[in-house]
Amino acid sequence: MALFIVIVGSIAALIYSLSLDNSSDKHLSEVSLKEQIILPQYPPKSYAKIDIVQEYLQDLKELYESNRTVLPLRSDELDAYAKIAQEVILKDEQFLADTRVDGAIMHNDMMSIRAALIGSLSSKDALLCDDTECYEATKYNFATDTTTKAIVDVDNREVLSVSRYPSSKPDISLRLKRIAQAITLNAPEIEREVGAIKSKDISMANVKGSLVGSICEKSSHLCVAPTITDHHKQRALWAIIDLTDLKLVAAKWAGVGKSSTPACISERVLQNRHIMQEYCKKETTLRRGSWSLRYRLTLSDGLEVRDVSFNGTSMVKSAKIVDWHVSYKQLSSQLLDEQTEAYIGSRRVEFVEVDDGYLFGYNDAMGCPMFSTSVVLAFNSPQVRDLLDERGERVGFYLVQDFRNPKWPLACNYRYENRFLFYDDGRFATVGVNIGRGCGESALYRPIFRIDLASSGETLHRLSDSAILHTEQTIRDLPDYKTPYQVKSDSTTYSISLLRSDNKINSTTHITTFKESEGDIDLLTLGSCCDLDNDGVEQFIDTDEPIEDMVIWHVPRIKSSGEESKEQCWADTQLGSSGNFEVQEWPCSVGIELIMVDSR
Amino acid sequence: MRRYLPIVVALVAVAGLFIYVELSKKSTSELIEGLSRPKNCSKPPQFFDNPKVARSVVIDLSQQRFKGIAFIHGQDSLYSKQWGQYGHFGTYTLSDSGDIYLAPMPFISIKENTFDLQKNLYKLDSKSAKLSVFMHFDSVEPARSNPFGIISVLFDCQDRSLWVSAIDKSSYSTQAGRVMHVDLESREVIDQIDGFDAFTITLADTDHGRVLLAGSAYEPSLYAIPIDSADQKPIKLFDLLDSNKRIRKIKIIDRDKLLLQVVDFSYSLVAMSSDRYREEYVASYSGSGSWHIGLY
Repeated sequence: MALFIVIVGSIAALIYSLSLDNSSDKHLSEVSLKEQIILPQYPPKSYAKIDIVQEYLQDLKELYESNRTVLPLRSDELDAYAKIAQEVILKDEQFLADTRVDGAIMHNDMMSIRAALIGSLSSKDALLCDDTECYEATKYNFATDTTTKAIVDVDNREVLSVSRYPSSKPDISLRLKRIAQAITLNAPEIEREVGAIKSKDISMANVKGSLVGSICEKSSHLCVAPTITDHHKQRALWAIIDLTDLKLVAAKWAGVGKSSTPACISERVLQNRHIMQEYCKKETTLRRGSWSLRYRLTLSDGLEVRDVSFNGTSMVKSAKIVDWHVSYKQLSSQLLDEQTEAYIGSRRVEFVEVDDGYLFGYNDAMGCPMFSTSVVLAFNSPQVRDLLDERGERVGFYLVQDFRNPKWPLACNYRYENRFLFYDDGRFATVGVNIGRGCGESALYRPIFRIDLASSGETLHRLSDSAILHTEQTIRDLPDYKTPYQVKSDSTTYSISLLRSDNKINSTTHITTFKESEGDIDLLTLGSCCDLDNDGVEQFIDTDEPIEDMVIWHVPRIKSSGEESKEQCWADTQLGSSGNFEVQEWPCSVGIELIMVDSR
Repeated sequence: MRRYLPIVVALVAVAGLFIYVELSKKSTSELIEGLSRPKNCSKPPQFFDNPKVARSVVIDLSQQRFKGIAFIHGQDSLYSKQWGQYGHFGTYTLSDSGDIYLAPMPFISIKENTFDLQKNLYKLDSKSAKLSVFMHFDSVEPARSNPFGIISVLFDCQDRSLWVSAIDKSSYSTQAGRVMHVDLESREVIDQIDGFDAFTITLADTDHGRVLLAGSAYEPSLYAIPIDSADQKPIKLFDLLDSNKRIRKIKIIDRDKLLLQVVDFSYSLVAMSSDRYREEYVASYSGSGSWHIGLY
């Protein structure tokens, strides 16, 4: 008996002491646990098809068409006094004062109208409400992330006070709660996880006006975390739903009673953990149609595909974009102060003098979101999507990875996409997409593509003059040739096409022989952002060295424009028809395509 | 009666165990009771005595207008190109003789010497205004998977020493940083706390001795290290609610009250260093291990 007491007591004391342990060891043990994180795989507009979401969007549309600005609460959320309070408050100029900007309507929802509690009343209002029925009405402005509260004297149909709380989120309405739950249950990614669970229920903690912003990446968005509990397996799925954009942003499985508050999870934390575990620490094998490949996220060379083969024929050992060089031009070198560094936005830049002024800018490396030498970080996981032609017919598939600065599309924040296109007919392309926004309205971008072909003993055949190039060298691509080269080896012949969204050709191609230290493993920043005579690849070129195993480096130049109606490689935030601030994108793309024309 | 003796002994033993655990908990909260700012001994650099330099000077490590370190006074700035030769700095500390000790920081792009620069602690001499490498740490090893090295430095007025933290070698699954106690005269590491990534450090007095307050680079948390105690294990005081944030600066503004500057940090390169990318919180200690954290 005594032994039993000692054993049970010791175990209890141990559990108790572990629960108090605040040391870093506890964190490490938590981190080392395998997490199951689910990231969205479908476009946000798919959620607009859900009945309750559709109805909500229709109500908003009708609201704006009737030139009203605040979506009222429906009668099932209001008692008799609250209905009067809503009628009064939606006519109050002070309450409605922040619902338009330059005449355009911003998205505002009534969130709650409840009997005012003494604790929420100022001493003046408390005195007035002593003998009358007072209600507290709360609305939320999605566009400005502002909560407005008003005290309404229902008996006298009078608004006593209005207070605004910028960067603050209220408890959400019952309608939005149902919408969040509907998005959760209808998201295909969640359905796959919980569809088969028989004993489950969904619950959701209300959002408190918190100091920590939002659990979403966009801190100004209203986000909630519905939870689906699997009673049988004693675990719960936490979903993060963005109610500003009406979409799922992330989800994770946790034990029931663990990670017990939504504050413990956030879109960025879940994304980063998932990307690190699944794509930075290991490679993924993809087999689809006639294609087979592996892919991985690098520390600073973006998304890399390796060992690409078509119909069993090896095509490419490695393809990736190692850097984006960004430069801006300032006319007149009179402004150049040699004593101080140049800067733009909040980023220090290097600069190079040219004839009529100077160029300044920096090198952006893309890669893993944590523990890396990247500055533009992987956002969401790599996605595989259907590749459609102009008629909308499927012609293959593509692999895409989004990279962003966290504050994009604010000035001096960047967003790039790495795309790898796999056509059913055997064509393979590597494409860099630039979605701005950069620091100035006109920047010159130079992405550096590196493609290591799988064959060996290759020679490059220039079609403009039928020259056969078999030593390391730099070639200026000719504007009239969109398919300027063929690569021939003993076993295969590839045609090389240059791809651009603006149909111009302004690029350089370098050919080198394979060396592991020259980009097969992660490259640090390559060359100067702003020395336009040097892409950085030149350091690998010895013009006397014959090519035994060819690596092609393609460096296109593309200019961004923020000028109205001429936007290119650009992004801007504007108040959209939804009443929310929406990002408008003008992406530009450049790339290189390999077409197998002969295989022996 | 004798037959119940083993049971009584067992019950006493278990009770004793619980009391021990409870006392351990109490000692954790006692660790920071009476938290206050220690006496400040820092002096401005002697080269500030130049009449052209105004009395109110701001040390600028923002890397916006200047690489390295600069001094802003009113509309003017004081900068020497020599102060930019070692790349970018993240934090500094002023000594009792006006020397400024600086910790490096990689910024936006990695160049050939970036990793080497992270292995040094730098000193801007109070008299000569010359910037030089004060100490080189061979053991610090920045790499592609974690480009950071020496990250924070603090002058200790009590014994004229430096506290220096490094966060190299840490990875996604392992925390391998060090807090080093460096003797200023001999330039030797006299003590070291292993396995903890301190993003920023500051000293505080408490009713039970001195503690080193440390913002973790690994977690959104503030820790206290009892430096006068034999067991210098970091003890967590609280977590910030936003898991993406890391405490980059700690200032004791009143008894039991801290001003915390927080930034986004994930061991990838820093692109934004201006104030608008930082948030400030006030953390107030209300006793019994309980903290209230609010926006400043």
